[in-house]
Parts: sequence; C-alpha cells; structure tokens
Amino acid sequence: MAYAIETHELSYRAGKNFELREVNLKVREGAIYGFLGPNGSGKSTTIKLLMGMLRAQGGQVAVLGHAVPKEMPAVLKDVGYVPERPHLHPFMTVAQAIRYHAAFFGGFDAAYAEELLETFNLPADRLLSQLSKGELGKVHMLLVLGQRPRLLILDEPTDGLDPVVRRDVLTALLDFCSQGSATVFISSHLVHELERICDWVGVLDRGRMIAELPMHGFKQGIKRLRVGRPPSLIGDTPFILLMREQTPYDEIWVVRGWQAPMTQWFDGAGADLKEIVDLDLEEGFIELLRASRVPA
Amino acid sequence: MLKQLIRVQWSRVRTPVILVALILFALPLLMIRANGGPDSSAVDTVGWWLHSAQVIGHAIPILALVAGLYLGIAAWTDDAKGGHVYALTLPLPRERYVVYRFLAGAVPITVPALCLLAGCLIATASVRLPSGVHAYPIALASRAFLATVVCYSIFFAIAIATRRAVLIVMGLLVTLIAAELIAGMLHLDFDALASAATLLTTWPGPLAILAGHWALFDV
Amino acid sequence: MSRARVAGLAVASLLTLAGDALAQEALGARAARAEALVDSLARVDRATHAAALAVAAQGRSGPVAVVLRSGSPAQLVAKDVWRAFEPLGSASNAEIERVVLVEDGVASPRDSVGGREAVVFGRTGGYESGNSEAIAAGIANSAIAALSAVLLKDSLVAAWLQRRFDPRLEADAQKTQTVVELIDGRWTSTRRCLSGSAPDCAVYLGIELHPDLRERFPVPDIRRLLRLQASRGGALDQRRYDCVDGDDSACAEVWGDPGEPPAGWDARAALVLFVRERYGADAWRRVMADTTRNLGARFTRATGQQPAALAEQWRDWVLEKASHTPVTAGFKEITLTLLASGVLLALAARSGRWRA
Repeated sequence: MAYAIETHELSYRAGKNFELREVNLKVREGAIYGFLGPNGSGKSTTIKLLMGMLRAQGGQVAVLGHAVPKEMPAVLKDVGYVPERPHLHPFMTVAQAIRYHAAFFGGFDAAYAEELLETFNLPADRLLSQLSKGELGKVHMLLVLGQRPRLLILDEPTDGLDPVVRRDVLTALLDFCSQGSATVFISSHLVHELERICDWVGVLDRGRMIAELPMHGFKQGIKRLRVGRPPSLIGDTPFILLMREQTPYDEIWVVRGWQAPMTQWFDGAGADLKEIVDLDLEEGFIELLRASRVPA
Repeated sequence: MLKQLIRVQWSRVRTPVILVALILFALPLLMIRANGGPDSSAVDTVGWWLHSAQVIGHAIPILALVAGLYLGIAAWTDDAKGGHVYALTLPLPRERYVVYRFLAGAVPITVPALCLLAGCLIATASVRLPSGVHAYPIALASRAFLATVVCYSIFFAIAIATRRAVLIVMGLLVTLIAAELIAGMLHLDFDALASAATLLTTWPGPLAILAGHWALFDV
Repeated sequence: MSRARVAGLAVASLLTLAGDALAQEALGARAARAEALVDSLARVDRATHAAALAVAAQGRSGPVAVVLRSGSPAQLVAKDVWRAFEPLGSASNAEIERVVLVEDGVASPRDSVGGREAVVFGRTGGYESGNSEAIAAGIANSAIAALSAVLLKDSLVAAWLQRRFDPRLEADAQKTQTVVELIDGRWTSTRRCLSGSAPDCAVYLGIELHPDLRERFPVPDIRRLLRLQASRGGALDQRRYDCVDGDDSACAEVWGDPGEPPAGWDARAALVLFVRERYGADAWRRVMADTTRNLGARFTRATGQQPAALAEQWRDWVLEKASHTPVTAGFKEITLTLLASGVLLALAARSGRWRA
C-alpha cells in the first residue's frame, strides 16, 4: 500500500504545555483525509512538521515517499499547501501573485488558474491587501490548485469563511480531485464540513492520535447504545467501548466498530439493549473526544 | 524565478529607492552649484568645487547606509509578515532561496548608483577643471554602489538573524561598553569601542569602504 | 641581542657623545657638527638621521637611545624626544615605523607619534612615512645637513620660510599640505592659483618680481580678514570698520605691511623642494648664494625661469604628486565588498529563524 503521508512515532514538544506524542499517520495515495481535532490539539503543528517547517524531536516523516525534512525541495515540488493564516505578499495584485507563484512551480497550469479565477470571480488587478477574507481564501486555493499537486495539504482552509465561499472552495477542491488522483490532507475542527468530502479521517486530541479510520467506518461504526441491566464486569467485547455513563434507569454506552450482529453479545451478557442510536460525524467526534479524555 | 523575485522586490521598494536615486543624482550638481560667496569670481570656483565636493561627498556614505538599511530590511519584510511560511513552501533549497532573495534585494541598488554616476558625469561635463585637478565620477559611483551593497548585506543578515544571534551581538556590544566604563573608572588606557570601530572601518574591516574618500573632484 | 639592537645601542652611544659635545656650541657650529654626524651615520639608517639631527640641533645631552627595529610597528616612546625633533620640523613625519626611541627606561606608549593624523581633504598623515624615504633617498645626507645649516644663515630665506626643515622627511607632507591650503582657498591669489592662474601662483608664493602688497592681499581679502576678526570678538577701530563697510582706501591704510606672502609655510617649503628636485641642489645653492633682496629675482637667476612660470611648474608638481587617498573603487574595494557580503549571506542562509 502506497502512502502519500506516513509518520512513525512522530514527536514534538513546544514549551511546557504542548507536546505531540508518537503520532502515527497513514494517508493513502488518492485519499481525501480529514484531520480532525479541537483547537489546540496539534493539527497545525503536525502539518508544519509534515511541511518541514518544524523539526521533529522524534520519529520519522515521509511525504510522497521522500524523507522530511531532508528532501524538502523534492517534496514541495508536488505539494500544494494552504496554511492556517494568509501568508501571501499583500502588496501584490491577484494576477501578480499568480505569476509569482507560477515562477516557482514548473508544472503550474496557467489555463486552469485562469479558469479558477473566473470560477471564483476574483478581481485580477486588485491588491491582495484589499481582498476580503473569503476572496483571499479563494486566491490561496487557486494558487495551490494551479500547481496541480500530487498532494494537497490544507490547514483549516475554510476557517472563518462564509458558507457561500466555503462551498465554492470545497467544490473547487472536489472538482480538482475528480480530475486526477491527488491526495488531500485537510485539517479542520468543522466536522460536518469534512463529513461531505473525506473518505478517511484521523482524530487528534491533546497531541495524540485517538482514531484513524475510513469515513464510512467512522460514520457507521460509532453508536450510542442505551443498555438496561448492564453487567458490572465487561470482558471481551466484539466492539470497542469508548464510554459508559450511568443514568437513573440504565446506562449509555458509546461504542466503536459496531455491526448489527453484535446485539447477540448483550443477550449472552444478560444485558438488555434498549436502543441503538446512529451518531453523525460531529456527534461521533465529540463522543470520541469525551471517551479519550476519561481517565483510564 | 529570480526575475519574478526581482520584479516583485522592485515594485515593493521603488518609491524610496527612486527618492534616494534622485538625491544622489542631485548631489554632484549641488557640488558645482556651490559658490564662494560674494567675493568669488568664476576663476575662484575650483577650490569651492573641491571644498563642496568634499563636504557634500560625505552625504554619499550616509545615503548608502540609509539605502542599505532600508533595502536590507525590505528584502525580508513580506516574508517575515507571513512568518516565512510562503518561502518555506517553495520547492527550492533554503540556501538558494536566500541567495535569490539577496540578489533580488540588491538589484535596486544599481538604480541609485547609476543615477549618481549620471549626476557625476553631468557635473564633470559642466565644469572646466584646471590642470592637476581631476574628476572621479566612475570611481565615486562604483564606491557608492559597493558601500550600499555592504550596508545592505549587513542589514539583510540582521533582518533574518535568529534571536540568539542578535543577543550575541548585543551582548558583545554591552561587554565592550562595560569594559570601557570599567577601564575609565580604573584610569586604564583602554578604548574598546574606538578600537572596535577602527577595526571595522579600516582595511580589511567590512566597513572600510564607507570610511574612504568621497569627493567627486580632487587633485 | 639582535643586530638592530646592537646598531641601536651604537647609535645611542654616538648620540650621547654628540649631544654632550654639541650642547654648548653656537647655532652655526652645531649645524656643522650635525652635518658631520649625519655623514658618520649614513651607513645606519635614514630614519636615524632625523633623530641624530634633532638631538644635535637641540644640543641635547640626555641619555637618549635610538633603537632600530625593522618590520614591526614602532613607537616613539620617550616624551622628550618628541620635543627634540621639533627644531627640525620633522617630528610628525619621521620614519617612525622603523625607529624606537627610548629614554631612561621610560616606556609610555602614550607618547607615540605613530598615530594617524586627521583626514583633511582626504589626506591623512599615514602616507607620509611610507613615501618620504623614497624621496629622501635621492638627496645626499650631507646636502641636507648643509641645507639646514645654510637656511639658518640666510635671513631673507629664513624669514620667507619662517621655519627650518628637514626636506628628506617632509616632501610629501609639504606637497599635501599645500594642496590642502590651495583647496582651503583663504586668499584670492590662493584660489586663483588653484584655478590655474600662474601669475597668481607667483603672488601666492611671494616670488613676484614687483611685489605689491595690495596684489598679495587685495581689498576683499583684507575686508574678509577684518570681518573674521570682528566675528571672533576682536575690537575694530573706526578705520577698520570703514574698511569692512566698503571703504577701499581705509582697507589699504589699516592693513599696513603684512610682510608675508599669502602662502603658508608648507607651500613655501614645497617650492624649495621643487627647485631642488627639478633644477638640482646647485640651483638651490645659487638661490642661497645670491645676495639680492628680491627673492623672485634670485629664483629667476638660479633656475632660468620667470617667477610666474616657475610658480606654474610648482603648482602642477604639487597637485600631481601630493600624497592623498583618491576616490578608488578597484580590486581591493570590490574584493572586500564581495567577501563581506559573502560572509553575511552565508550567515543569513544559516539562520534558523525562518524555519522555526
């Protein structure tokens, strides 16, 4: 299996309050990988490590088969990166920014960029400093898509954008993906946004990877169960019990890896499975976080 | 790639650079406009050219310093604003990017230098120098260019220096000042700052180019 | 003990003896002894001559040691030695790179005369010692001593020169100082001389055939001088105020006989050097041997040149040969710039800031 991004035991410490601990990421080529996590969980730090902007204190990183940060120029040739905050030179016009960017990337598709300029309805002759936040977000996306990269790394690309712009940006992203086999690694704390486009998802919390699974597994595999007469001791289960919470009459369980035949396990354990509730991605994400934060 | 960097850098700095260039263009003309006061006649003016060339010439290294300071810092301003993120996402080795950035920042220096050369040539052509008195337009303009490049390099390096490097330099300065104060209190013959300044401004000190002679007209 | 040190001690002994012997003699006799002393020291070192002449002329009897040191920067150490040089006007121009003078074990480097002088019109004192030896090499030691001695005897030349000098060691300095003086342009004739007017050069040097004081210092010069005097708080009487206010006759009246040409001592000394170099030592001797009261006529007879022509030649010689630091942007400057920029660029490339 070829991976566009692969990290092994990636560790990084910034000061006393933040540490990225042994993060293992595997992003398959061609996947649209949603990198979820609450604010401050370490998503941007992980991305900076992937982009060679920070040096890891432990572990290995490989992007598109090249070691990071040793082979960065080779990596960056095929990577389009949209950072969390705007970083383009503000005194340039949109057209100048496109020309400037194109000069560094040999395979820059000027015609496609021109097309996107129209799609995004961007004023070519306006200074970047005079653009709205939404327009600036579109310019960023235009530039990286124009590169026609093999891997797109997007760090909260739609954060702070209005819904219309967000839709435009994500649509352009999906269009681009449909044209080829690019891999997309997109971080966000806006879970429902990723639900629509991602086929894989990884969840990071407090510097640790707490889950990495296909989107369908995430959406279908996490359930909230209402259990009557729950057993006091739970042995081996066919699912992963993320959390159990007592209510006056029964218990609420959040489980992962749920499949329909697993109801039989409750019969065997003498418990009464009263209700199975499907969680959407956001609810699942929240439950996942809650579960990961409960002390062992 | 480099062409784009140069183009962008030029559009960034052109207004102040053109201003400095105009001043440098005007300086040599100012030298020959200077006259000797009410008592002077046409035949008296050579001494005043030499005199004013000497006095006004002092403005050239100062302008070189100012231009170097501005261009050195401006070379990194936009990268620094974006936390250098954009530069780091470009697919070329870091060292090569620094060299390109340096060259792009240095190219605008040619404009004031060429303007100074033009001003010097016009000034030289406008006066009739007696035998034994010479004009040095090319040497003066070249010297101004070199001095600006040195100043630019210094501020280019400072603008990208790590906090640690800045602290080391500041620490060195503070140590020199402290050593001088202590030596003064102990009545020792030790002038650390002056020695350091001499070391920097005399051959082969990096600032020796600034300390030279800056007169357009001389014997 | 190094060879230089042995030589130095030998010279020291000689000087001590010479100083003792010369202390009580009259000026002329001292100069004659100085000449003999210079001849006797001719083998040692030209720079030593400065010390020898100085000590001899001063009539100094103190224990002065002259130590030669080659290849390393030296300092004139003893405090009194500075003063010992002054009668010959060569203290600040001595070949101090190659001479160390030590007196009675006093070793205070503060009295070094090896430091750079101020930069005046791009001309620093540093160049003087380097070039003067080459010029000095062309002049016989005995001739120098003889010149010094003769200068003291001729009252007209002595008055014109105002100071005695050692031409070996000051040639460049005098040319340079003359250029500074010309550029400074204090007087009308000075400014016109620099601008190429040969008659004005002759007026400036005071060798015009028919000296007219009003030509030497025209009314505007006098007025300017009085204004300067008044601006410095000097009291002016009524006629002087009249001059400043525009009364030309008052200017001629109050100025009187200045007795001096506009040129300073360095410019005049440079003329002596020029005559010696261009027309030979004999020409200078002829100037000195001539008893005519008109200095211009003396120069004309000795060199065959009219004062204006001679002054013009002198002007070109001074301007062409004065030591100075011209505006240069050659190999050295380019190399330095490339090196400095290269090092700074390397430091910038290694900076970790933009990766952090």
